[in-house]
Amino acid sequence: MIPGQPLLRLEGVTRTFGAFTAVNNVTEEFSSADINCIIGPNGAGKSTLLNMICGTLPVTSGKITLGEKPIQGLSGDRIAKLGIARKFQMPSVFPSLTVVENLSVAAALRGDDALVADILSNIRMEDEAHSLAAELAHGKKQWLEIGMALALRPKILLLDEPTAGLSADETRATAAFLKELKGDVTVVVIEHDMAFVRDLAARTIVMHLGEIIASGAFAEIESNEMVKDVYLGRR
Amino acid sequence: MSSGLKKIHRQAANRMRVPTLVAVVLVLALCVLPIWIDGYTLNNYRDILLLGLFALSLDLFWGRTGILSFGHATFFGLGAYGMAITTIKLGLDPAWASLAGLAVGVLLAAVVALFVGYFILYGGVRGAYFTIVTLALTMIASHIAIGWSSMTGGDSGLIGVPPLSVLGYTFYDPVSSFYLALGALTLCLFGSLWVMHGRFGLVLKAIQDDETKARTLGYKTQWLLLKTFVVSAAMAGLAGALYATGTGFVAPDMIALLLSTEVIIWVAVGGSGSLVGAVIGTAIVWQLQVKISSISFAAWPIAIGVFFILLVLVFPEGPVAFLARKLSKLRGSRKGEAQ
Repeated sequence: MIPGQPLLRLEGVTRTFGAFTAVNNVTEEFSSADINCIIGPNGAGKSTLLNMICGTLPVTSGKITLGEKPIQGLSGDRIAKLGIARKFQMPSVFPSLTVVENLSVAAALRGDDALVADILSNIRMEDEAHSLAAELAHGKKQWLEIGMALALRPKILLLDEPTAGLSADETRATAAFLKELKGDVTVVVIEHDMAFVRDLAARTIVMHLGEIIASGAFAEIESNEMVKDVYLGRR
Repeated sequence: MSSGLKKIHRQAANRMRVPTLVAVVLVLALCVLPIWIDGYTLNNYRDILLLGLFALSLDLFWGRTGILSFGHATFFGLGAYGMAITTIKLGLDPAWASLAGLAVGVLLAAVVALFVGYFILYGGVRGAYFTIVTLALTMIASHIAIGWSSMTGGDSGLIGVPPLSVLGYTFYDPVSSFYLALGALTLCLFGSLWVMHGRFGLVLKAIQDDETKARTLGYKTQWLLLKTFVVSAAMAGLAGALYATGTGFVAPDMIALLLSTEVIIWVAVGGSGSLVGAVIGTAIVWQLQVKISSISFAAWPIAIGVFFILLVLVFPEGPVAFLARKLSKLRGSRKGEAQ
């Protein structure tokens, strides 16, 4: 993986639900080992876009390419094996398994057991290693799910609202953790917390009504008049 | 290996310890049973062991995936009818006819499970819908068993299934047929305990919790569920085939809806998911059935119906888990009072 090279390409990606177009003709590139944020109001099509990338939802039309390989139409498990890991909007862990079992299940297909201990330490959950995931606080579940995604050793990490329900300290720690991943993994984050997005200092893509209306550095995005109108508001 | 992973394996081993210990004690006790028991009673125990194997087969799928099959009698019946038709109708050499019958019975159950399971599991049928589809499967199989009388003997079934014969040795007398049943059960029980308490069992538990999540981690969940379903059906087929060699006949009630219902109750009574509990549950319910039926023959279907209603309304997690929860609550409240 060469940093800066395009890794994930979306070309004219569209998803409709009956007469409603959730994602409309989106074309975008995500570079290797870079961090990207997708922001936009509710219903902009951000999660639908992620669902199509990871194969949870089929595309209506358009093309998604990972490296040189078209991945639209592939099953979720195949896409995961190709290196795309995903954290869902609502914490999605296996409640009847312990923290370390959750990570072990995630790491098993890679056959990399040693990774579990590393991730456990990275997500700072050694003390809860043998607690049932069902008993974890919301924020810990978010971290565990990020850990499970990392246990796949992904090329691309898709995170849907990773800071939802986290305290300010936890949010800052999450931003610091994601920044550490820069250079190793391509990260695509959907987020509503603008302080977090600013802290990440990542390339930002703004979606509205299923379309990309702006992209660039967050400082540019903040001063974009259209983005202020539809999402950020005016002070 | 890291200490965290060592602990996972230790925890898995600990979880396995209680059911395995119970299984070891049970098998050892059963090994010495023929010393004290007469032939007639031993034949009854043999039947209980084979029905216990049948219950184990259901628990392997239901207890580990959370998906309830209401059609497991189909696979037990296919095993039994496969054995009976092969040995009685095909005119094979008696020296190996029963062995061929065993293979046909097990394969028939596995192939039907593969065919049906492929369409329903890959078609995304889960939960109550899976239960209803498999219920329909039993009804279809039962109608075929009754309707295709030239092959199955219709309502009367087929009489004259020979005992199993392997390399010239025939499991004819009560003691040898009891040990045959015990051997099959022991093999399947310990095999299931070993597999289900390893990583495969952990992944099935994960699928039970959240199948979509498991798929996004790269697991072919439909294939894993299908594999478990087919192995479970093959085990039910094995139980059915051996049951037919023990009783010497097959009848439509071996492939009927009542048997599909009963096996769910056997597993529920023993506690679904523990594997060894399915075998114990079968023995308990069997004894109850004998006692209740001796009072009135009609009382048993009523008792089983009432139990089913209680299972849904009062203890959906099964009576064992229900009692365990009540006991721990009681202990907790006593501790609270003491403090």
